[in-house]
Amino acid sequence: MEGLLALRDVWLSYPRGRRHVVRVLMDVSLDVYAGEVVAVLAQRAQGKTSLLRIAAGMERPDRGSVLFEGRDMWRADDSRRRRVGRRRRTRSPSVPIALVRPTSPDVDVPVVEGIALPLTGAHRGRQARELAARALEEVGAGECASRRWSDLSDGERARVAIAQGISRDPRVLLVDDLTATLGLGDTEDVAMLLHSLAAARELGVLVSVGDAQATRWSERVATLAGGALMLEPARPAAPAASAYLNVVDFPGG
Amino acid sequence: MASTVQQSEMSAGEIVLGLLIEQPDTCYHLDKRIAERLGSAQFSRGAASRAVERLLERRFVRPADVEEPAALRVVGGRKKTVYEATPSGVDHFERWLRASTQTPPVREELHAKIALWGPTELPRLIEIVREAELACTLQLRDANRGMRADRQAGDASEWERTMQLIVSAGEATWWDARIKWLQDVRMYLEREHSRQQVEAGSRRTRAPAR
Amino acid sequence: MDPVLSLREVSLSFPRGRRHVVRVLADVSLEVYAGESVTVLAQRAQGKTSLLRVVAGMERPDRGSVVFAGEDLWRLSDRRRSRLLGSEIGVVELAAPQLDVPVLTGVALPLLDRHGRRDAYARAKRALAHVGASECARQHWGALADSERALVALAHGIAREPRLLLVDDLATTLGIEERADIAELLGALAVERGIAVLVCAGGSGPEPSSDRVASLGGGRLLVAPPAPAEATNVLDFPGEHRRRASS
Repeated sequence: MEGLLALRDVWLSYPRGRRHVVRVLMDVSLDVYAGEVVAVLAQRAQGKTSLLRIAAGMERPDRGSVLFEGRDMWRADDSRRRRVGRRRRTRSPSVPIALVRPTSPDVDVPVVEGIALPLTGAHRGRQARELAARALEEVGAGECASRRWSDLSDGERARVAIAQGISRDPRVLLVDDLTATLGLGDTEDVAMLLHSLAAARELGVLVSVGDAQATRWSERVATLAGGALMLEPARPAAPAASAYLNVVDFPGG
Repeated sequence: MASTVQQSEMSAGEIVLGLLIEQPDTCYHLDKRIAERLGSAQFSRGAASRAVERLLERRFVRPADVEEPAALRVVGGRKKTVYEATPSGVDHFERWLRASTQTPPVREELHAKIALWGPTELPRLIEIVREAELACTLQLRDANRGMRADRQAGDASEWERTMQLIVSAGEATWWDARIKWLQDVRMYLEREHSRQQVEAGSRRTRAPAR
Repeated sequence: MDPVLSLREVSLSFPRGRRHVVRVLADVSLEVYAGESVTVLAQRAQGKTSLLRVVAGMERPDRGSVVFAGEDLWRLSDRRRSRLLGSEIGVVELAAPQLDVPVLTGVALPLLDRHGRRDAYARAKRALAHVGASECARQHWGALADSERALVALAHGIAREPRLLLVDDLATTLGIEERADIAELLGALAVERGIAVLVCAGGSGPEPSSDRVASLGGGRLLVAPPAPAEATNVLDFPGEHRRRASS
């Protein structure tokens, strides 16, 4: 069965001058199902961001397909290639895939304004602000609403970034290395938050992380290195590539 | 704890066998060679002679045919027996080397294989490392589940929860380090392999056509 | 023998908005001697860059002293300080150059303030040769592989023949073999040229082999004291590969 989000045999590389080619992703496949968090564990410069950009439909792979609800994002069924989930009009309905990255906003406005602004395309100003406020409450950052970004702690910033992601009511949430600079407690909190959001909203969540601390609340853990991604299949019924998959079975698993 | 001792002793057997295949030797020197090749105090002193005993029982090694006095290693005035691998020992070793690493991935075993692997047949070693990497992620996943269950078991105090978190973090760190090491190893081997292939390719093109 | 670099109880904090203060360095003390290599291990965002900036005299600590080659850096005039540091400290960091020039030019340019053109280029060429990156001389940064970039960065640092070499997180994108090569190069520079080498490395991946390893976390630096000259085997674990001048 296909996941909510699926990558199939994805390849991505780019040239570096005339003498080198950087192979970022080689034959990468993965599925993310509704209600689960999948973590991709990778060291720096191993393609975490590229992987998520491709999953978000922001970048097109050289080869392979990216599927949302079974439909290829990059299908060319009209004269201009169109991505599933984003209409060309200005009044866009909710985008089903949101990408969350640790960036700072360009203007230092109150947090709730910063989240509301991108929503004003589809909603009236007051509605947008309400949605923003609700998203902040949902991630436990309600009291950050009237504060400014520069005043927030790192942990609060991470929550606000997630609030921004879910404010558009996505079906899939992609989170790019949000906990890199967080300590133990904050990392745990963010991981737990994503886990409960996935369950409560039936989201498919794909997070890229730089270390295993952040994987504690993920149902499955993939590794990405040297362009190769390894991930156990979600359904135990899937054919096991080798015997090792059957050996370790802990209670509660 | 008993199982880890068992595992390391098990691997000591294969390691000793591999070293004897490379060069027949005495138990005394074997201890030194193990330390040099595997780099730490994973094996206690005397691990070599225990391993040799078990290998003798299984007829994987035998005392070397010491006709020439030069083969006798005189250590501290006493001569020590030089051992060598038997044909069935060589066979066993080759099969062990190429077999998938046991799960849970045995640290010493994987280290041993890497230390003893020759420069050929890299794809198989790469495969073994890949399997180990994936197996580690499964272990991490299972460790995570266990820790989540502990955390969710409700009535712990604030202090206890903090301590639990610290312990969980320690567990995760261990797997993190393993996985990253395996990733680095895999990438290195893959690059080495393609380098070999490029070299082989250019040698072929340079060879005169027949 | 006096250390080349001596940090004494250095503290540095930054405000974060109106509510928070981030203590980046708290009472950090460290000595680095000529001919030795010290690695500071720290995870991301734990103050590596700030530490290097303080050492390089680019950031003034709130408290504490930074003594380089016997001079208290912040007792000097701005001009004297920048002259001293410009000639005696080499910084190695992976950063795209600001001008898109060939590598050789990029390494030579900073030397023009103190050397004639021909001399600067000769030094640049030697530096590239020393690290084994001569064939990168005509390339541009954008066309270099990660491993080549690391070597070029190293060449930048040593072109001036400094007394202190500061290496900022060089090995993060490198594979095992390249890390080992860099580690060997740095070790050789320390031993053969008597340079003091201070390396900041991230938590993941093996650290370069060094004489001493310190750990930076929560603003605090934990560092073992330098081994006394006579003791040779105190910290010697089997399997460790370390270059020594004598052994």
